[in-house]
Amino acid sequence: MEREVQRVRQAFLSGRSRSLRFRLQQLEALRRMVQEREKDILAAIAADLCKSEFNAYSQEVITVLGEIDFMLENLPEWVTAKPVKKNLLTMLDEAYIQPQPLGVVLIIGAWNYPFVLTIQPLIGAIAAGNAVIIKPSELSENTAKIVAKLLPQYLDQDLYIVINGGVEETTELLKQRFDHVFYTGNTAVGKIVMEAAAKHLTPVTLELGGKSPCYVDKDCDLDIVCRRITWGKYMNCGQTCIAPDYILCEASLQSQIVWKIKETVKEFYGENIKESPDYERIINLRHFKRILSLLEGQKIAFGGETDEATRYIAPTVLTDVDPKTKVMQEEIGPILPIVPVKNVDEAIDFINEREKPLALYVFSHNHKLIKRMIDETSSGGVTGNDVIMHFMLNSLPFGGVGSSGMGAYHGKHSFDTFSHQRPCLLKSLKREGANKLRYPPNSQSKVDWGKFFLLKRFNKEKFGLLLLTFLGIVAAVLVKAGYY
Amino acid sequence: MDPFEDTLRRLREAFHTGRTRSAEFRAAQLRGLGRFLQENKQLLHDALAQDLHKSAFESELSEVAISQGEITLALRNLRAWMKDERVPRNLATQLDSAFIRKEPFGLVLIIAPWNYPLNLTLVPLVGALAAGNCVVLKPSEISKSIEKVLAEVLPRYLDESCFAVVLGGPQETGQLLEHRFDYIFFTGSPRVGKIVMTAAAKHLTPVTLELGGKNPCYVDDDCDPQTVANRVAWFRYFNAGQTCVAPDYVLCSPEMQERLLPALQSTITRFYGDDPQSSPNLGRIINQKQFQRLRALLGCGHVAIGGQSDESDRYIAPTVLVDVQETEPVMQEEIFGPILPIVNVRSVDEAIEFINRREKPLALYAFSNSSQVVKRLLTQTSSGGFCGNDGFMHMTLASLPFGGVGASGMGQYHGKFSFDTFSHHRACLLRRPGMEKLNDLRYPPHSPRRLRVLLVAMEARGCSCTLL
Repeated sequence: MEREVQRVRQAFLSGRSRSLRFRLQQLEALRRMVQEREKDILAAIAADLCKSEFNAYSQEVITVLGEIDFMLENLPEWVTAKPVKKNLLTMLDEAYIQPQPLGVVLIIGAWNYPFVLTIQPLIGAIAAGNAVIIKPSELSENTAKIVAKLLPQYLDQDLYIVINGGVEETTELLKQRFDHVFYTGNTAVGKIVMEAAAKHLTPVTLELGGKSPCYVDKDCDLDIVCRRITWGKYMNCGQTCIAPDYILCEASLQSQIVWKIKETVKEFYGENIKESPDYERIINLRHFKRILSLLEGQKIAFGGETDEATRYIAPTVLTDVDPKTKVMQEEIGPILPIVPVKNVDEAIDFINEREKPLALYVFSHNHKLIKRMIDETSSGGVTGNDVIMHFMLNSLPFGGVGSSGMGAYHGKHSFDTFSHQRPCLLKSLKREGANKLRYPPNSQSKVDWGKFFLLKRFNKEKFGLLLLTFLGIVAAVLVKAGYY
Repeated sequence: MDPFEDTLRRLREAFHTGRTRSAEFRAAQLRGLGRFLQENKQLLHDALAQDLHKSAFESELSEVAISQGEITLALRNLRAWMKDERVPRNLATQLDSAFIRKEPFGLVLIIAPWNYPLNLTLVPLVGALAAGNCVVLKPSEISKSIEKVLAEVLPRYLDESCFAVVLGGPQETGQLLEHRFDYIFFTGSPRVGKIVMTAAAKHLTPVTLELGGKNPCYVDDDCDPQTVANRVAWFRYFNAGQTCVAPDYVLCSPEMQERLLPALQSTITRFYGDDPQSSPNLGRIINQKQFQRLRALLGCGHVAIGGQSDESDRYIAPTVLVDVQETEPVMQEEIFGPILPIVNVRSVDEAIEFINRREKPLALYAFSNSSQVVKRLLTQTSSGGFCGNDGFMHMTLASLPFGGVGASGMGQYHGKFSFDTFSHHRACLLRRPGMEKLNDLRYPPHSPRRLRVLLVAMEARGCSCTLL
């Protein structure tokens, strides 16, 4: 393990990942990989999650391609130094922020969207000029294998490597030193990752989870609302970190919501859901059993059918759920609890009593209510009157807050996450006379002049320039001549 | 008995009332900070003189004025910074409202150091308050006089329901760190930085760590030694060298060293007179522990300039060491004192190699008349910040972010970067409740035909947006 990391570090130190041309080349190669080996990739995802070609393509591959194209288009601009506003003291200097790669990045992927959640961060890390070690989730075995097989066929084999393995290997890997660790997964392991990173003072981005609440107001079109919720909830068999986890609504709406979701499920997946190619399966037996146990003692409004042999769990809705029960403590799965609340105040209190979620959803025609929901709660992100969609817009930073995570990515946010934004000030060795103002021995007048130069702002650059030069000379002359 | 439990609970409850959210409240807090500085100028100067023998010049410029500048900047820009940031939309979200909402994290802990005890406490505080957080401040117990002012006088100028100062040493700080905060801002050594981050990991608390390192200062053959000596000496001996961004050591050729040494001597004499110990413009070492540590470093290499020390005064003369080995202590730890070792290198390449063998520093300096040489140093190394042909001037420009990389830290602040550091950037997408037809494409059941339609649509736009 140590040798592998060393090899990657040596490759980074060679400097070849830094040039814009190289980064673009690698991204183009990645794009070719996704296009040419699409069938293999889709097959792997299908094997892991029983996901249809359409779903795998539209949920994972499209996002990857879109992200690569976005990088290819914008990277040339992003890598350039950005000049910053100067003050009187630095008027004549060059001042800018230069993005630089961090070095060797570790990306630990997740199993629920095994391709995109590994490759999308990779795209950002490559774009920022880093070397990368990828550790796909071992739970999504097939995708892990295909990524390990394909990446070296298209990308630089020393700069970007895949290391597969389970808990033991990951623990060993985390003992090594990286320049950034990007982890997608659960809160408990997130803490372990951050603690390991702390030993090397390695910055981290943690994309974790939480229970994303979904408030449904009485002032809304329930038909549409329930379609959208059904779509987001049961996509990938509920194994989505930003799925609407549970519904908060007034008790009077419960039965309608149940009915409409049930109808929508029928519309989406047919009478015999098991046979629908668009409905996925639970990733493994352990998770299957875990989710099953959440149903104990609950009022199942519809659904609840399971089949251990195929790890099938039907789209399920629970009503009148007691917040203290297990199903309201854990996340991930095609089970949708409805927790009745008296009004929006109670909903807001309910949400705020709990950990900050990765996403928050609110459905209402009342714009003021939506605004209130946002103003009075916190979450990684928000989508109003829909679910999931804020993930799709890469100009929005995607990430959590509190126990749902730290840091963000997507689009330029990825580039920024994997870069060091280095402030640079370039002065000249000339005009040393002006510096006499700052050198000891000091006097009160020097203090006053110093403050003037430090604190004064000027809007008109040219004027400021002239004034500075003039004042600098005057001040230096006067001080030297002993007037002060 | 946990001494902090009540305070933290009180602050958290205050945060939940929403009191800190309005611009008016935040501006009032910032104005309070401003008044604190203005109304206690003499008190603060005296405290800084007591703690570090800081001259009025240094106190005013590097502590009070900088803090004042940040307060003014924050007040002027607060509303603009607080505004929701609209973002470009893609095809699927054309009709929606998409923006980034800047939200306070909640309860913020600021742990401050002793070397610029006012600046390094107030500047982060400005950011945390401007961003709408409740703040717990843990000033350094080592700079005792300022600690007293911060504990006794500062709270009077702020809303005490949302702000608290807690005191104590390493043990109390350890206890404090067991609690959960929503953000931790730490300035100090890498060793303690690791402890802070490890404690933060237990609660998944995001952190900014402003640490340190050995800041290299490359001096090219092609430059005027006197100018370089002036600049390097000023930044090295400012605050008796106790500055995280001070040039820590010089890299230059033996020929340059020959020219630099007399220039440095001349500069030091001009700055501090023939007897620097009697100059009011030279600071003192903060305490005995640091003094003893620094005095031991005087034994490394050979003393070319200075080398005197006085234990009773915690005085160390502005010193330059030569013939130092990389393995000696003065080249192993961050010096943080008025000692400047010179290490010889034969070329720019050797200097770059030397720098890159070591941990990434907080700052990097390169002196040369040739802009090519300066740019080479810049592009082939990494560091928190970089300044060509001067010392830490880049810190005084609030439009430049200030922070480390690698072992010198993570995160950045100053100006708007402070506000952004202490804010959660929340992605918000507000869609229309109607126009459901547009969404039909995303709903199952999916047909092979639909996939083909999707692919064609992607091709046609040659595209960088996600449709669904």
